[in-house]
Amino acid sequence: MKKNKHISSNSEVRLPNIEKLVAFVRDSKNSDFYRDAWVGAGNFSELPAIFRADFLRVPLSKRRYKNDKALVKIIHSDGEMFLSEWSFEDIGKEKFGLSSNRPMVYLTNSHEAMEKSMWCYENNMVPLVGEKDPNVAMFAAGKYKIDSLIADAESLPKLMPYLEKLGKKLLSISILGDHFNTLSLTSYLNFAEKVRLVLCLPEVGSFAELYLNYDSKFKALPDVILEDMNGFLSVTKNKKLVTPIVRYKTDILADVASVY
Amino acid sequence: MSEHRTLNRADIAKLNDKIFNNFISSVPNDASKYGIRITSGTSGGEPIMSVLEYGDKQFNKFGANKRIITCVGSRNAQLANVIHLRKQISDYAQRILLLEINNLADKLPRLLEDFSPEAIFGHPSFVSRLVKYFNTVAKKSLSTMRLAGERVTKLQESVFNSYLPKVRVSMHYAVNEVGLIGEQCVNLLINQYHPISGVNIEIVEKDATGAGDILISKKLAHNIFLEKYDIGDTGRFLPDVCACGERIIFEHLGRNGYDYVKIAGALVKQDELDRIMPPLLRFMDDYRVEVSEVLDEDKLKGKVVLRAFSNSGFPTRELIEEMTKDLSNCFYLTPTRTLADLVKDEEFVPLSIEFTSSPFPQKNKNSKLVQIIG
Repeated sequence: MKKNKHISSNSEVRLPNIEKLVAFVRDSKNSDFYRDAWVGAGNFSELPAIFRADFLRVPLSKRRYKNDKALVKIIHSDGEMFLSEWSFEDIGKEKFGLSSNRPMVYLTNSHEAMEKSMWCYENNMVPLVGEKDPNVAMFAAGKYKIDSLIADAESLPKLMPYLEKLGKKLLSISILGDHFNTLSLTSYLNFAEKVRLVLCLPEVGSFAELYLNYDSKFKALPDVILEDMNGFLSVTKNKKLVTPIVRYKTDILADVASVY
Repeated sequence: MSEHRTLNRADIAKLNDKIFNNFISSVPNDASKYGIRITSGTSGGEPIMSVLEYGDKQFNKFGANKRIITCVGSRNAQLANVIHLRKQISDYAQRILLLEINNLADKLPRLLEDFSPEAIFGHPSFVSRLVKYFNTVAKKSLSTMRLAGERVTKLQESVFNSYLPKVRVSMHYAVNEVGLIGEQCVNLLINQYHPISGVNIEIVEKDATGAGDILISKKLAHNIFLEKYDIGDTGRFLPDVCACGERIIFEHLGRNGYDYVKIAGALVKQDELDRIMPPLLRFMDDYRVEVSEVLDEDKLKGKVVLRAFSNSGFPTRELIEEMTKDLSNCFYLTPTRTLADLVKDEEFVPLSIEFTSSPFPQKNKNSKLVQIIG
């Protein structure tokens, strides 16, 4: 179970056209994945939750709702593995980072590093993808004179020797993950004008963000509905993704009281 | 650049530095025309940063294949593959699955079946480990295997033939810091290439078999020409004219083994040997470290043998066993794993230390590291 700093649930707010997404998914000729789960359910509010276990159980080929040029990745989950597919256009529309001239992507997982690097390209930025070896990554960061960073909480400390020698702050550091120790991350404000925490899951993409020292709560990203389902966060993205995300229940606690 | 001097890595680093610094002095209007590439710095010196210029070139790296798997070591190389796919113009959907070594797990066959790949692009050492995860269903869709980045060993070739006999294997020859050098036509065998257009190959310091150091000359970028660059590999020309009409065929014989040897997904570095061997040198007058790939329990694994020459007697068996254990525990073959770790993970067979009273032949390049190619 993962705690996060004050996530605001906007379950009372409905995005326009959400029922259009539901109809698109329900009527799809490409897949029965959601249709089978939605038997008997009517509109959006009646739809049952979908879980990671469902993604594990159903092969990607049976939950593919569209055919576009795409990147496929392997997601490891408690000893199991499943495939997740994202079209390049959909990757570009995610909110993984902020615009800059010379971004660096430094993530623990190589699949995620590739996806976020392609996000940079789709948003007209030439990325530097950091190799696993932090010495090589830091060398490259210095040579490329990076001005922003997309990283995760596990990999970021490995870049400290580089960050501590920065003459000028980076424009932004976007830290991706499904849980954060917010207190320990505030120190990165020494190295960037903006430090942004982005809630995301590999199969869901990004769904909420928080700017350290500006926001007290995570805010749902555009086209995202966050709901509190029995104390856990459920995510719906109003987008026609390869595998759409509709009432995807996470193991992230929706109701978080304290800051770490 | 001097026309009479063989260029070395430091020269390439300077050339690439110039191109790279020029690139970062402004922001490109169209990011899709460029990529950043970095070598790992294994051949000595710092890593080399370079700029890949895609321009408006139309790519067709993956041909008509709709579902592609790539398995290469570095993230840079993986990203380049993804960009190639993104830039390929086709009227059908293509999808690419990037694999890492830690994806080679028991659950992988089901995922390969789900993905149903038509082609694999990757390094021979990685692909030779991947192929055993293809079950009968996953094999059905696979028709193409394209290898690069390393020389294919006979053992690897036999693994490909054994597991995927119906898959056509082709190769291309490239070096990180200078790009593509050679391609194959359908008539060539494994490790044989024609130089690509614009590349000139020379082979120097040949031995009796015609094998020698490969020097290349080509245009890098921005009207910067590379001349007589020693890429650190050995090769030889083949005398025949190819059935396709090409007059030049060269064979890649492998890395000269001086600085490092890539084996079974790990890297055996001379620098690392220089770090760990001194405490043992009092027991020997000279040594060689032989690195190879072997089939052990139906799995390709790395093998390291330390051969020690002593002209004043050998240590006891117990002492050798102790040396073996100590060396395995401190010998790093990846940034984070020792030989002992790799043996535990069943990626390498246990280290052997063998003493001999015969001195080793002294060659022009007295390398301690020897790759045994199967």
